[in-house]
Amino acid sequence: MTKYGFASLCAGLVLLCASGLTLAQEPINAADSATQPSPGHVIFKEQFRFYSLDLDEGRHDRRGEIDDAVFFSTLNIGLRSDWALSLRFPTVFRDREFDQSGRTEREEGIGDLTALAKWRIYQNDTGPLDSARLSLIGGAEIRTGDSPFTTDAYNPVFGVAYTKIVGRHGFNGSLQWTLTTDGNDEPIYAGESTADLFRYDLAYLFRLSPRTYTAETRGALYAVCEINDLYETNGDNELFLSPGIMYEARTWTAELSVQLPTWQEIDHRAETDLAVVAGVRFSW
Amino acid sequence: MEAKTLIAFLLIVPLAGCETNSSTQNSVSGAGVRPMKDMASSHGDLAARLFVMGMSCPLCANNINKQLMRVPGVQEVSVDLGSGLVLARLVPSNPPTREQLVEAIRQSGFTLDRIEMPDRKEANND
Repeated sequence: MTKYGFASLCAGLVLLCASGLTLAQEPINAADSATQPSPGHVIFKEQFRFYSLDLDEGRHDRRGEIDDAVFFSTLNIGLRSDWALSLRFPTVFRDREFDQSGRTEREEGIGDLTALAKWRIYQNDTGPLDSARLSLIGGAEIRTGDSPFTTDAYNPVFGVAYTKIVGRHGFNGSLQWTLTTDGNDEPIYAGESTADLFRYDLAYLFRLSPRTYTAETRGALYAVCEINDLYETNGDNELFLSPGIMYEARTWTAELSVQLPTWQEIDHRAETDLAVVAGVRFSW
Repeated sequence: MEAKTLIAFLLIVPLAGCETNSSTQNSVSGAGVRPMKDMASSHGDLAARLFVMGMSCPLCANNINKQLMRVPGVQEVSVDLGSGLVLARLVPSNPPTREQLVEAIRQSGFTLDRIEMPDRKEANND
């Protein structure tokens, strides 16, 4: 087992044992939502994403199949009642098989840190459960990663997220713009080239159980359906339909989802064949 | 590390979390959350009743609980997500002020509809 694998395994086990407490009705794949931890409250989110990719662009000798196992580790910290900070970095395990030579290659490393601040500018709670919230998001991707998983750039990120909960129904919409200042010659993912990246996300969550909350309610099970779009200013566009399921307890959350590419128009990076997502969140 | 091994691990983590939940609920109760009916029936309890709006999920209950438990004089908290009623059991000898409880709800990111504080005489009798 590699040092990164071992570290991730240890982190997972420690969190399991020490799980005190998690993020509210937040979509699984969307860039963000208008929910956040309260002051002094920390939420750790570990999300595993398996990507099956197909690179048919760029140098011929680099084209081929790519399987990525990525751990996204995120720390959400409540600063004030309307301000929160999130820090996120990926740990990537990559297997490549090149079409031309048939050669395989394995790479692993840590990607760039993304630091984002969230400011809730609108809140309207209209009932015991019902709420509408709007947040502004700002921050940057910071060149802290290992090659080839870094863009070697400081990229500002701006976004807005809206969340509305009505009874058993939850709606989320978010838009995030990454202003790219530099990038890779051979990008694999959206946002790794020198083109700016726009992420559009829409999500609907339906509480399957319980039908009605009571004082005894310890957790809730949700069906999740998301539409996630990645548009780059070089013309690349990838749209996913992402069904999923999420269980949220008072101190932790578990989530499972798949991302199915439904529309792809890509000329500069790898196309996603499939993505499988599993994650946990713990709250302190 | 094999990708399959990683996938297996990440699938096991949430399942293990589900298994441990029922046993950890008691410890959570020990940290200040217990069923509302138990708390309400405790003899001699001095409790404030807070009606909160916007608590749409179990985690919200935890947010409220944590903020209220930081207020000196709050002994225990119980949250009914369905009605939005939050019961805060107070230390009879040194109960918090109404303003402290209002501020805790504000800090937790929810809207306080109204608050019913216990009678001071009741506190003194206890």
